[in-house]
Amino acid sequence: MRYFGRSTIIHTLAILAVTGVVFTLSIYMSQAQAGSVQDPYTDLSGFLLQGPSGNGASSNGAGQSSMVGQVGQSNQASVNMTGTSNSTLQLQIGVGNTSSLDISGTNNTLETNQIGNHNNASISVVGQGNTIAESQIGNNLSIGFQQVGNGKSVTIQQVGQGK
Amino acid sequence: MAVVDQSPPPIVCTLAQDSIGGGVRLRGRVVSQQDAHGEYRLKVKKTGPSGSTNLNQKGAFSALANTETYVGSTNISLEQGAQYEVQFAIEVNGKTYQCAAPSGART
Repeated sequence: MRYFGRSTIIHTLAILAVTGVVFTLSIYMSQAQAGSVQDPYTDLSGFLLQGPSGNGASSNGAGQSSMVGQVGQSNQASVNMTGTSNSTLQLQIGVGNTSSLDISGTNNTLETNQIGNHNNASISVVGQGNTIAESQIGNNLSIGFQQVGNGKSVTIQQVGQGK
Repeated sequence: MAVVDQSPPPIVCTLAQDSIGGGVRLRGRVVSQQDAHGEYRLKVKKTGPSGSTNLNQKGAFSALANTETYVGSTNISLEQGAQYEVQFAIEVNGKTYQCAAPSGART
């Protein structure tokens, strides 16, 4: 009797767990399908956890590299880099993220990618021979870019479709 | 009888716009009768369905006489319905030249 009771409880919990997973998945899938109909760039905010505000790297020197990856919403990534031949890469996936890059020096490479809606990138570059690439995919995007000095190349991409 | 000065201007600056895949490459172009040294400023304001971009560039340049010199190269994507405005100016020997910089759009 005692053994049978435990088994029943375990089986019941297992069934509830599986049912819950299936139910949760079905809700997510229906939301995703509904979102994709309304907007080709689906608003991911309902699926993302609130991410911690994260700072990237600050580097002073030569030949250093930093990388920041953030998934979530309302994240902040900032990189402050001074020197020569440094490189930084930022990737943010989510909604309402902010990327800030402040670069001073020569022959640096910086790249920032943002996927999601309502993202913002602010880039400030001072120096010669720097390579800058900024890419945003989503809606309601904004980029502020300031450069003092002759850069090697600047590429800015915004891909999206307004509602 | 009035004498009309038909000599070419000492310095000419224009905006070069080249179509690239899904966007445009913007560069300032400077041609001077004499060797010239100065500073350029390139401002681009792009608006479109996906969002906006405000770009400001400035830097020093040197141009050899009668030679095309390009400054401030920037590649900007243009989604359908996007448009941009450009301001391009150079300063040489304390004098500022506002350069021809037509706007553009992708329809």
